[in-house]
Amino acid sequence: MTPQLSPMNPNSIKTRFTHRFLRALKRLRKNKSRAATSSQPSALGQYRKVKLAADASMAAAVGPRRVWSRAMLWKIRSRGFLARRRGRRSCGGVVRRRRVHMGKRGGKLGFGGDRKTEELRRLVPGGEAMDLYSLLDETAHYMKCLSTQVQVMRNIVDFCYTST
Amino acid sequence: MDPPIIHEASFSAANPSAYSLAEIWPFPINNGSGGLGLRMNNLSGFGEATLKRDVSVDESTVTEQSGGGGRRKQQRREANSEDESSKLVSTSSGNDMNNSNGKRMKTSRSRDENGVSKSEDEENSGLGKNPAERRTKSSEPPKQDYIHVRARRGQATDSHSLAERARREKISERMKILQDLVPGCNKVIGKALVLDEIINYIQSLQRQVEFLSMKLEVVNSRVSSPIEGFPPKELSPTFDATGMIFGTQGTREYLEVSQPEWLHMQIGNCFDRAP
Repeated sequence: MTPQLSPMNPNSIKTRFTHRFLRALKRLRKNKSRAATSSQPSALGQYRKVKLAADASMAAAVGPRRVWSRAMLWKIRSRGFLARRRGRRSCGGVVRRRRVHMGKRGGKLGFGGDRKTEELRRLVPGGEAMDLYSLLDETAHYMKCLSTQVQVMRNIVDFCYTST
Repeated sequence: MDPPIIHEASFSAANPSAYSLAEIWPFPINNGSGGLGLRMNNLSGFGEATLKRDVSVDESTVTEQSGGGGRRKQQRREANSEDESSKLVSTSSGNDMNNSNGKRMKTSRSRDENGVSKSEDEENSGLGKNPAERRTKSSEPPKQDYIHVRARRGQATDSHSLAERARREKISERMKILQDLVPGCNKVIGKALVLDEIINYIQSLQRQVEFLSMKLEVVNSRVSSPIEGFPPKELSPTFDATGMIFGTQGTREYLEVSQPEWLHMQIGNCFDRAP
Protein backbone atom coordinates (compact mmCIF):
# COMPACT_ATOMS: atom_id res chain seq x y z
CA MET A 1 0.00 0.00 0.00
CA THR A 2 2.76 2.41 0.79
CA PRO A 3 4.16 2.49 -2.75
CA GLN A 4 0.81 3.73 -3.88
CA LEU A 5 1.18 6.80 -1.76
CA SER A 6 3.92 8.30 -3.84
CA PRO A 7 1.95 9.10 -6.99
CA MET A 8 -0.59 11.06 -5.01
CA ASN A 9 0.10 14.72 -5.02
CA PRO A 10 0.01 16.01 -1.46
CA ASN A 11 -0.84 19.47 -2.71
CA SER A 12 -3.70 18.41 -4.90
CA ILE A 13 -7.06 19.90 -4.21
CA LYS A 14 -8.39 16.49 -3.36
CA THR A 15 -5.85 15.83 -0.65
CA ARG A 16 -6.18 19.27 0.80
CA PHE A 17 -9.92 18.99 0.80
CA THR A 18 -9.77 15.60 2.51
CA HIS A 19 -7.53 16.95 5.24
CA ARG A 20 -9.66 19.98 5.86
CA PHE A 21 -12.91 18.13 5.74
CA LEU A 22 -11.84 15.42 8.16
CA ARG A 23 -10.56 18.03 10.53
CA ALA A 24 -13.85 19.88 10.27
CA LEU A 25 -15.78 16.67 10.91
CA LYS A 26 -13.74 16.00 13.96
CA ARG A 27 -14.36 19.49 15.23
CA LEU A 28 -18.06 19.10 14.62
CA ARG A 29 -18.09 15.86 16.50
CA LYS A 30 -16.28 17.37 19.41
CA ASN A 31 -18.64 20.32 19.53
CA LYS A 32 -21.59 18.04 19.32
CA SER A 33 -20.43 15.69 22.01
CA ARG A 34 -19.99 18.71 24.19
CA ALA A 35 -23.46 20.01 23.43
CA ALA A 36 -25.16 16.63 23.22
CA THR A 37 -25.86 16.31 26.91
CA SER A 38 -27.64 19.62 27.24
CA SER A 39 -29.74 19.93 24.10
CA GLN A 40 -29.87 17.67 21.09
CA PRO A 41 -30.10 19.88 18.01
CA SER A 42 -32.20 18.70 15.15
CA ALA A 43 -30.65 16.27 12.70
CA LEU A 44 -31.43 18.66 9.89
CA GLY A 45 -29.34 21.42 11.35
CA GLN A 46 -26.54 19.00 11.99
CA TYR A 47 -26.43 17.74 8.44
CA ARG A 48 -26.47 21.32 7.26
CA LYS A 49 -23.43 21.87 9.38
CA VAL A 50 -21.69 18.93 7.80
CA LYS A 51 -22.56 20.21 4.37
CA LEU A 52 -21.36 23.68 5.20
CA ALA A 53 -18.15 22.19 6.51
CA ALA A 54 -17.69 20.25 3.30
CA ASP A 55 -18.36 23.31 1.17
CA ALA A 56 -16.12 25.51 3.22
CA SER A 57 -13.27 23.05 3.19
CA MET A 58 -13.64 22.61 -0.54
CA ALA A 59 -13.56 26.34 -1.13
CA ALA A 60 -10.64 26.75 1.24
CA ALA A 61 -8.77 23.95 -0.50
CA VAL A 62 -9.28 25.64 -3.84
CA GLY A 63 -8.06 28.91 -2.43
CA PRO A 64 -9.01 32.47 -3.21
CA ARG A 65 -7.95 32.35 -6.81
CA ARG A 66 -11.32 31.25 -8.07
CA VAL A 67 -14.36 33.44 -8.03
CA TRP A 68 -16.70 30.70 -6.93
CA SER A 69 -14.56 29.67 -3.97
CA ARG A 70 -14.28 33.24 -2.83
CA ALA A 71 -18.00 33.71 -3.17
CA MET A 72 -18.72 30.49 -1.34
CA LEU A 73 -16.44 31.32 1.56
CA TRP A 74 -17.91 34.78 1.75
CA LYS A 75 -21.41 33.36 1.74
CA ILE A 76 -20.64 30.82 4.42
CA ARG A 77 -19.00 33.39 6.62
CA SER A 78 -21.64 35.99 6.12
CA ARG A 79 -24.37 33.43 6.56
CA GLY A 80 -23.40 32.99 10.17
CA PHE A 81 -23.09 36.71 10.47
CA LEU A 82 -26.46 37.33 8.85
CA ALA A 83 -28.12 34.67 10.97
CA ARG A 84 -26.83 36.36 14.06
CA ARG A 85 -27.96 39.69 12.74
CA ARG A 86 -31.32 38.34 11.77
CA GLY A 87 -31.75 37.21 15.31
CA ARG A 88 -31.31 40.76 16.41
CA ARG A 89 -33.04 42.64 13.64
CA SER A 90 -35.32 41.95 10.72
CA CYS A 91 -33.96 40.39 7.55
CA GLY A 92 -33.53 43.69 5.75
CA GLY A 93 -29.98 42.96 4.80
CA VAL A 94 -30.86 39.88 2.85
CA VAL A 95 -33.51 41.63 0.85
CA ARG A 96 -31.14 44.44 0.00
CA ARG A 97 -28.51 42.05 -1.24
CA ARG A 98 -30.93 40.25 -3.44
CA ARG A 99 -32.02 43.48 -5.00
CA VAL A 100 -28.47 44.41 -5.85
CA HIS A 101 -28.02 41.13 -7.62
CA MET A 102 -31.17 41.66 -9.62
CA GLY A 103 -29.92 45.05 -10.72
CA LYS A 104 -26.63 43.60 -11.83
CA ARG A 105 -28.31 40.85 -13.71
CA GLY A 106 -30.55 43.29 -15.57
CA GLY A 107 -27.63 44.73 -17.50
CA LYS A 108 -26.23 41.44 -18.62
CA LEU A 109 -26.42 40.30 -22.17
CA GLY A 110 -26.71 36.61 -22.75
CA PHE A 111 -27.13 34.41 -25.74
CA GLY A 112 -29.93 32.08 -26.75
CA GLY A 113 -30.55 30.11 -23.59
CA ASP A 114 -30.89 33.08 -21.34
CA ARG A 115 -33.10 31.41 -18.78
CA LYS A 116 -30.64 28.53 -18.62
CA THR A 117 -27.82 30.95 -18.05
CA GLU A 118 -29.75 32.50 -15.21
CA GLU A 119 -30.26 29.10 -13.72
CA LEU A 120 -26.59 28.35 -14.01
CA ARG A 121 -25.80 31.65 -12.39
CA ARG A 122 -27.91 30.69 -9.46
CA LEU A 123 -26.19 27.32 -9.14
CA VAL A 124 -22.61 28.48 -9.30
CA PRO A 125 -21.65 30.51 -6.24
CA GLY A 126 -20.80 34.05 -7.14
CA GLY A 127 -22.21 33.57 -10.61
CA GLU A 128 -24.64 36.45 -10.36
CA ALA A 129 -22.09 39.07 -11.28
CA MET A 130 -20.10 37.31 -13.99
CA ASP A 131 -20.01 37.60 -17.71
CA LEU A 132 -20.81 34.50 -19.65
CA TYR A 133 -17.28 33.48 -20.41
CA SER A 134 -16.06 33.56 -16.84
CA LEU A 135 -19.31 31.98 -15.75
CA LEU A 136 -18.60 28.98 -17.94
CA ASP A 137 -15.01 28.92 -16.79
CA GLU A 138 -16.04 28.94 -13.15
CA THR A 139 -18.71 26.40 -13.84
CA ALA A 140 -16.17 24.00 -15.26
CA HIS A 141 -13.91 24.38 -12.27
CA TYR A 142 -16.75 24.24 -9.81
CA MET A 143 -18.04 21.08 -11.41
CA LYS A 144 -14.68 19.41 -11.17
CA CYS A 145 -14.38 20.37 -7.54
CA LEU A 146 -17.90 19.23 -6.79
CA SER A 147 -17.26 15.84 -8.27
CA THR A 148 -14.04 15.60 -6.27
CA GLN A 149 -15.97 16.54 -3.19
CA VAL A 150 -18.59 13.91 -3.87
CA GLN A 151 -15.94 11.31 -4.49
CA VAL A 152 -14.05 12.02 -1.30
CA MET A 153 -17.16 12.17 0.82
CA ARG A 154 -18.36 8.92 -0.62
CA ASN A 155 -15.00 7.37 0.12
CA ILE A 156 -15.17 8.50 3.70
CA VAL A 157 -18.70 7.17 4.12
CA ASP A 158 -17.67 3.89 2.57
CA PHE A 159 -14.70 3.65 4.83
CA CYS A 160 -16.84 4.29 7.87
CA TYR A 161 -19.43 1.72 6.89
CA THR A 162 -16.95 -0.95 6.01
CA SER A 163 -14.88 -0.42 9.10
CA THR A 164 -17.80 -0.75 11.51
CA MET B 1 -6.10 71.14 -32.98
CA ASP B 2 -3.59 73.60 -31.74
CA PRO B 3 -0.85 72.85 -34.26
CA PRO B 4 -3.07 73.52 -37.28
CA ILE B 5 -3.99 76.93 -36.00
CA ILE B 6 -0.41 77.88 -35.57
CA HIS B 7 0.23 76.42 -38.94
CA GLU B 8 -2.47 78.48 -40.53
CA ALA B 9 -1.29 81.67 -38.94
CA SER B 10 2.21 81.11 -40.11
CA PHE B 11 0.94 80.46 -43.58
CA SER B 12 -1.04 83.64 -43.75
CA ALA B 13 2.16 85.46 -43.02
CA ALA B 14 3.72 83.59 -45.94
CA ASN B 15 7.19 84.84 -45.29
CA PRO B 16 10.09 82.41 -45.77
CA SER B 17 10.72 81.91 -42.10
CA ALA B 18 7.12 80.96 -41.46
CA TYR B 19 7.24 78.70 -44.44
CA SER B 20 10.18 76.84 -43.07
CA LEU B 21 8.35 76.44 -39.77
CA ALA B 22 5.37 75.12 -41.63
CA GLU B 23 7.61 72.83 -43.52
CA ILE B 24 9.09 71.48 -40.34
CA TRP B 25 5.77 70.94 -38.62
CA PRO B 26 4.11 68.22 -40.67
CA PHE B 27 7.05 65.97 -40.98
CA PRO B 28 7.70 64.96 -37.42
CA ILE B 29 4.02 64.18 -36.94
CA ASN B 30 3.69 62.51 -40.26
CA ASN B 31 6.76 60.52 -39.63
CA GLY B 32 5.52 59.17 -36.36
CA SER B 33 1.93 58.61 -37.37
CA GLY B 34 2.80 57.12 -40.71
CA GLY B 35 5.08 54.62 -39.09
CA LEU B 36 2.43 53.81 -36.52
CA GLY B 37 -0.22 53.40 -39.14
CA LEU B 38 1.93 51.09 -41.19
CA ARG B 39 2.88 49.05 -38.21
CA MET B 40 -0.67 48.59 -37.01
CA ASN B 41 -2.34 48.51 -40.37
CA ASN B 42 -3.22 44.86 -40.38
CA LEU B 43 -6.72 44.55 -39.03
CA SER B 44 -6.15 46.05 -35.61
CA GLY B 45 -9.00 48.36 -34.81
CA PHE B 46 -6.94 50.47 -32.53
CA GLY B 47 -4.40 51.16 -35.19
CA GLU B 48 -7.16 52.16 -37.52
CA ALA B 49 -8.60 54.45 -34.93
CA THR B 50 -5.32 56.25 -34.37
CA LEU B 51 -4.78 56.47 -38.05
CA LYS B 52 -8.23 57.86 -38.54
CA ARG B 53 -7.72 60.51 -35.96
CA ASP B 54 -4.47 61.42 -37.51
CA VAL B 55 -5.88 61.70 -40.98
CA SER B 56 -8.85 63.73 -39.83
CA VAL B 57 -6.59 66.16 -38.07
CA ASP B 58 -4.53 66.53 -41.14
CA GLU B 59 -7.49 67.06 -43.39
CA SER B 60 -9.14 69.45 -41.06
CA THR B 61 -6.05 71.58 -41.25
CA VAL B 62 -6.45 71.51 -44.97
CA THR B 63 -10.05 72.58 -44.78
CA GLU B 64 -9.22 75.40 -42.48
CA GLN B 65 -6.77 76.74 -44.90
CA SER B 66 -9.30 77.87 -47.52
CA GLY B 67 -8.88 77.47 -51.28
CA GLY B 68 -9.77 74.88 -53.89
CA GLY B 69 -11.55 71.59 -53.32
CA GLY B 70 -11.06 68.00 -52.38
CA ARG B 71 -9.61 67.36 -55.79
CA ARG B 72 -7.13 70.06 -55.22
CA LYS B 73 -6.08 68.52 -52.02
CA GLN B 74 -5.70 65.23 -53.71
CA GLN B 75 -3.61 66.80 -56.36
CA ARG B 76 -1.55 68.40 -53.72
CA ARG B 77 -0.85 65.01 -52.22
CA GLU B 78 0.14 63.54 -55.51
CA ALA B 79 2.30 66.47 -56.36
CA ASN B 80 3.82 66.34 -52.96
CA SER B 81 4.85 62.79 -53.26
CA GLU B 82 5.98 63.20 -56.83
CA ASP B 83 8.08 66.13 -55.90
CA GLU B 84 9.83 64.43 -53.16
CA SER B 85 10.87 61.19 -54.75
CA SER B 86 10.18 59.42 -57.95
CA LYS B 87 9.46 56.11 -56.35
CA LEU B 88 6.50 57.58 -54.48
CA VAL B 89 4.65 57.86 -57.74
CA SER B 90 3.89 54.22 -57.67
CA THR B 91 2.38 54.36 -54.23
CA SER B 92 0.35 57.50 -54.62
CA SER B 93 -0.49 57.42 -58.30
CA GLY B 94 -3.47 55.16 -57.82
CA ASN B 95 -5.26 57.58 -55.54
CA ASP B 96 -8.94 56.88 -55.98
CA MET B 97 -11.42 59.12 -54.32
CA ASN B 98 -14.04 56.46 -54.07
CA ASN B 99 -11.91 53.78 -52.56
CA SER B 100 -11.48 55.26 -49.16
CA ASN B 101 -9.70 52.35 -47.63
CA GLY B 102 -7.11 52.04 -50.33
CA LYS B 103 -6.61 55.72 -50.36
CA ARG B 104 -6.06 55.83 -46.68
CA MET B 105 -3.50 53.14 -46.88
CA LYS B 106 -1.75 54.87 -49.73
CA THR B 107 -1.72 58.25 -48.15
CA SER B 108 -0.33 56.84 -45.00
CA ARG B 109 2.32 55.02 -46.94
CA SER B 110 3.25 58.07 -48.92
CA ARG B 111 3.39 60.05 -45.76
CA ASP B 112 5.65 57.55 -44.23
CA GLU B 113 7.94 57.83 -47.13
CA ASN B 114 7.66 61.56 -46.81
CA GLY B 115 9.10 61.19 -43.41
CA VAL B 116 11.76 58.86 -44.66
CA SER B 117 12.76 61.21 -47.41
CA LYS B 118 12.79 64.17 -45.13
CA SER B 119 16.43 64.95 -45.56
CA GLU B 120 16.08 64.70 -49.29
CA ASP B 121 13.22 67.15 -49.16
CA GLU B 122 15.17 69.56 -47.08
CA GLU B 123 17.87 69.52 -49.68
CA ASN B 124 15.63 70.61 -52.51
CA SER B 125 13.45 72.97 -50.55
CA GLY B 126 12.71 74.87 -53.71
CA LEU B 127 10.64 71.94 -54.85
CA GLY B 128 9.11 71.59 -51.39
CA LYS B 129 7.69 75.07 -51.69
CA ASN B 130 5.33 73.88 -54.37
CA PRO B 131 3.04 71.70 -52.28
CA ALA B 132 3.04 74.19 -49.48
CA GLU B 133 1.72 76.88 -51.76
CA ARG B 134 -0.94 74.55 -53.01
CA ARG B 135 -1.88 73.82 -49.50
CA THR B 136 -2.57 77.46 -48.92
CA LYS B 137 -4.89 77.42 -51.92
CA SER B 138 -7.01 74.50 -50.74
CA SER B 139 -10.10 74.15 -49.93
CA GLU B 140 -13.75 74.09 -48.90
CA PRO B 141 -14.70 71.12 -46.71
CA PRO B 142 -14.35 68.06 -48.89
CA LYS B 143 -17.33 65.73 -48.77
CA GLN B 144 -15.10 62.73 -48.99
CA ASP B 145 -14.24 63.23 -45.35
CA TYR B 146 -17.68 62.21 -44.27
CA ILE B 147 -17.56 59.19 -46.46
CA HIS B 148 -14.23 58.32 -44.94
CA VAL B 149 -15.63 58.60 -41.48
CA ARG B 150 -18.56 56.44 -42.36
CA ALA B 151 -16.43 53.84 -43.95
CA ARG B 152 -14.27 53.80 -40.91
CA ARG B 153 -17.25 53.53 -38.72
CA GLY B 154 -18.20 50.51 -40.70
CA GLN B 155 -14.78 49.13 -40.13
CA ALA B 156 -15.07 49.87 -36.47
CA THR B 157 -18.21 47.79 -36.29
CA ASP B 158 -16.33 45.23 -38.21
CA SER B 159 -13.69 45.13 -35.53
CA HIS B 160 -16.51 44.93 -33.03
CA SER B 161 -17.91 41.99 -34.83
CA LEU B 162 -14.46 40.51 -34.89
CA ALA B 163 -14.27 40.90 -31.15
CA GLU B 164 -17.74 39.47 -30.84
CA ARG B 165 -16.74 36.50 -32.92
CA ALA B 166 -13.68 35.97 -30.75
CA ARG B 167 -15.86 36.12 -27.67
CA ARG B 168 -18.27 33.62 -29.09
CA GLU B 169 -15.43 31.34 -29.98
CA LYS B 170 -14.11 31.53 -26.46
CA ILE B 171 -17.52 30.75 -25.06
CA SER B 172 -18.09 27.81 -27.34
CA GLU B 173 -14.66 26.50 -26.42
CA ARG B 174 -15.66 26.69 -22.76
CA MET B 175 -18.87 24.94 -23.61
CA LYS B 176 -16.90 22.18 -25.22
CA ILE B 177 -14.78 21.77 -22.12
CA LEU B 178 -17.90 21.64 -20.01
CA GLN B 179 -19.40 19.12 -22.34
CA ASP B 180 -16.37 16.92 -21.87
CA LEU B 181 -16.71 17.23 -18.13
CA VAL B 182 -20.34 16.26 -17.96
CA PRO B 183 -20.74 12.54 -18.57
CA GLY B 184 -22.96 11.68 -21.47
CA CYS B 185 -23.11 15.25 -22.71
CA ASN B 186 -21.08 14.70 -25.83
CA LYS B 187 -24.01 13.56 -27.87
CA VAL B 188 -26.15 16.51 -26.96
CA ILE B 189 -26.33 19.17 -29.63
CA GLY B 190 -27.43 22.72 -29.04
CA LYS B 191 -26.34 25.18 -26.43
CA ALA B 192 -29.57 25.23 -24.51
CA LEU B 193 -29.60 21.46 -24.18
CA VAL B 194 -25.96 21.38 -23.17
CA LEU B 195 -26.65 24.01 -20.56
CA ASP B 196 -29.57 21.93 -19.40
CA GLU B 197 -27.32 18.95 -19.00
CA ILE B 198 -24.75 20.98 -17.13
CA ILE B 199 -27.37 22.38 -14.80
CA ASN B 200 -28.77 18.95 -14.13
CA TYR B 201 -25.35 17.55 -13.46
CA ILE B 202 -24.44 20.30 -11.04
CA GLN B 203 -27.74 19.95 -9.27
CA SER B 204 -27.28 16.23 -8.96
CA LEU B 205 -23.78 16.74 -7.60
CA GLN B 206 -25.03 19.24 -5.08
CA ARG B 207 -27.78 16.89 -4.05
CA GLN B 208 -25.25 14.13 -3.71
CA VAL B 209 -23.15 16.32 -1.47
CA GLU B 210 -26.21 16.99 0.63
CA PHE B 211 -27.04 13.35 0.85
CA LEU B 212 -23.50 12.35 1.67
CA SER B 213 -23.30 14.96 4.35
CA MET B 214 -26.43 13.44 5.86
CA LYS B 215 -24.78 10.07 5.85
CA LEU B 216 -21.64 11.50 7.31
CA GLU B 217 -23.65 13.19 9.96
CA VAL B 218 -25.14 9.88 10.92
CA VAL B 219 -21.73 8.26 10.93
CA ASN B 220 -20.22 11.13 12.79
CA SER B 221 -22.84 11.10 15.51
CA ARG B 222 -22.22 7.51 16.36
CA VAL B 223 -20.59 6.82 19.63
CA SER B 224 -17.65 5.03 18.09
CA SER B 225 -17.13 6.71 14.82
CA PRO B 226 -14.23 5.63 12.66
CA ILE B 227 -13.73 9.26 11.79
CA GLU B 228 -12.73 9.78 15.35
CA GLY B 229 -10.35 6.92 14.94
CA PHE B 230 -8.87 7.54 11.59
CA PRO B 231 -7.59 11.00 11.75
CA PRO B 232 -6.28 9.87 15.08
CA LYS B 233 -4.17 11.58 17.60
CA GLU B 234 -1.62 13.17 15.33
CA LEU B 235 -1.14 9.95 13.44
CA SER B 236 -1.27 11.77 10.19
CA PRO B 237 0.61 9.13 8.19
CA THR B 238 -2.19 6.62 8.54
CA PHE B 239 -4.72 9.32 8.00
CA ASP B 240 -2.91 10.36 4.90
CA ALA B 241 -2.82 6.77 3.86
CA THR B 242 -6.54 6.39 4.28
CA GLY B 243 -7.18 9.67 2.57
CA MET B 244 -4.89 8.82 -0.28
CA ILE B 245 -5.64 5.21 -0.76
CA PHE B 246 -9.15 6.24 -1.51
CA GLY B 247 -7.89 8.18 -4.42
CA THR B 248 -6.17 5.23 -6.07
CA GLN B 249 -7.47 3.56 -9.13
CA GLY B 250 -8.69 0.34 -7.62
CA THR B 251 -11.01 1.92 -5.17
CA ARG B 252 -12.18 4.40 -7.70
CA GLU B 253 -13.19 1.68 -10.06
CA TYR B 254 -14.90 -0.10 -7.28
CA LEU B 255 -16.77 3.05 -6.52
CA GLU B 256 -17.61 3.50 -10.13
CA VAL B 257 -19.25 0.12 -10.02
CA SER B 258 -21.12 0.90 -6.88
CA GLN B 259 -22.26 4.26 -8.07
CA PRO B 260 -25.70 3.27 -9.38
CA GLU B 261 -26.59 1.95 -6.01
CA TRP B 262 -25.65 5.21 -4.47
CA LEU B 263 -27.65 7.07 -7.00
CA HIS B 264 -30.66 4.98 -6.24
CA MET B 265 -30.24 5.67 -2.61
CA GLN B 266 -29.92 9.31 -3.30
CA ILE B 267 -33.00 9.39 -5.45
CA GLY B 268 -34.94 7.51 -2.88
CA ASN B 269 -33.78 9.94 -0.31
CA CYS B 270 -34.94 12.83 -2.39
CA PHE B 271 -38.32 11.31 -2.81
CA ASP B 272 -38.47 10.83 0.89
CA ARG B 273 -37.76 14.45 1.46
CA ALA B 274 -40.03 15.77 -1.25
CA PRO B 275 -43.37 15.31 0.46
